[in-house]
Parts: sequence; C-alpha cells; structure tokens
Amino acid sequence: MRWRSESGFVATELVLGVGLLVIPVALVVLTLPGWSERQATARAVSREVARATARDGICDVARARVRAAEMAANLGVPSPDLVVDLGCVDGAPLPPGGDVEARVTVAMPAIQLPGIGAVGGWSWTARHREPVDRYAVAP
Amino acid sequence: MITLQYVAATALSLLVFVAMANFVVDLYARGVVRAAVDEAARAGAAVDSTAEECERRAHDVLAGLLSGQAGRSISVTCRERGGLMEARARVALAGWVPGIPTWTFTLVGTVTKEGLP
Repeated sequence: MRWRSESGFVATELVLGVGLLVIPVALVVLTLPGWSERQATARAVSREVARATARDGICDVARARVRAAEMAANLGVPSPDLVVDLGCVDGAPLPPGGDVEARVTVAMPAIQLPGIGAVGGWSWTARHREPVDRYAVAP
Repeated sequence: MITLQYVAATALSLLVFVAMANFVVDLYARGVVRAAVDEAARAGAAVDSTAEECERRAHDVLAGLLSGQAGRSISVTCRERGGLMEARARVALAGWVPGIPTWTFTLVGTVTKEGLP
C-alpha cells in the first residue's frame, strides 16, 4: 500500500482562508460602528436644531436644514443622508413658554463596505423637544 | 519546508488581524473625538463661557476616554464665530505596524451661542 504525499499547500490555504472568509466578514462587521455614528449625529443635530430654533423664537425650517447640513458634514455624515423637520408652522413665531420639536431622520446603510459603497438600508429618526423661553419677549 | 510555510503564513495572518484591530481602535478614537467636540462646543456655548472653557472641556473628555499616545495626537481649538461656538479637532492616528498609513482627519462641533434676552 502506498501513501499519498502528505506535502500540502498550508500557506496557500491559510492565506486564501483569511482572504476569502475572514476579511469579508470583518468588513461587514465594520458596518456596525457606522450605525452608532449616524445615530449619535442625528441626536446631536436634532438637539442643536431645536435649541437654535427655540432661541431664535421663529420657526425657520430652511435655516434649520442649512444648520443640520453643516453639522452633519462637520461630523462626517453626508448631508443628503439627513432629513430635518420641525414640529411648527414654517415662518410662524414660537409662543413663549411653548416648545418646539426637531425631527432628524438619518439613512442607515444595512451594509457599508469601506471604499466600496453601501447596500440596502433603513432610516432612523431622532427627536428633540426644546422649551421656548417664557420671558423671551419681555423687555 | 511545510513548517516554514506555516510560520510565514501565520505571521502574515497575524499582521492582517493587527491591521483590523488597528482600524477598529481608530474608529473608537473617532467616536471619542466626536463626543469631545460636541461636549466642548456645548460647554462653550453658555452665555458666560469662553473659548478657553470649551477647550478645557474637550481636553477633559479626551483625557477620560482616550489617554496615551492616541490622545496626544489630537489637538482641539475653540473659537466663537457668527453666534456659534466652534470646537475643531485635528487628529492624526498613527498606524500600529509599518505599512499602515497615519489616518488624519478633522471634526468640527458647533453649537449656537446663548445670548442675553
């Protein structure tokens, strides 16, 4: 009985195993921190937009969107991935003692491969309600 | 011969895992910097706060969450601009092994400055 040669291709197999199995799975897992980043950005933007609107005392949706786009870009999230809406009538003054709600919806990619792109996804909304100063109009 | 191949392949595989761990830690560092500029800008936006207080808050956050060499590679500056308090962090995260480039980026946190009625 003759044994087949036991010399194999362990180096090739190991490298292929790492290259074809481990790295693709690791890249998919790296999508998870992106979800957290986008949620944190949406929370920060909703808080700041609501705060600025309450401070100004006027419901200005256009200004809120400009502010949100600037913040998102500064924090590393593409501006088109963010949609901002205010819970008030555009252009109307805010009643002292009332509140204003900012809703920020951010696109969440299901899988995002660094340097390649995103596949699928859903959206996530952050809400922040800010009180308007009761004495803002007092002299 | 096969032992030599195995050792070489294992060493290369470990380098790959170190590179991936490096990337994950860098992502954590970026999250910390985002939190720091956000906290700093909010601290500096109070009506009686200054840019110095904004910078102090940023350094406190970084000292608590990212000390060591990575923390020292981050510089934060604050300034008041057009009714906003702006905290700007410049980051340079060095690679752990030769061949991994240094990751440099800038993050900015802005908060509307409070005003007296």
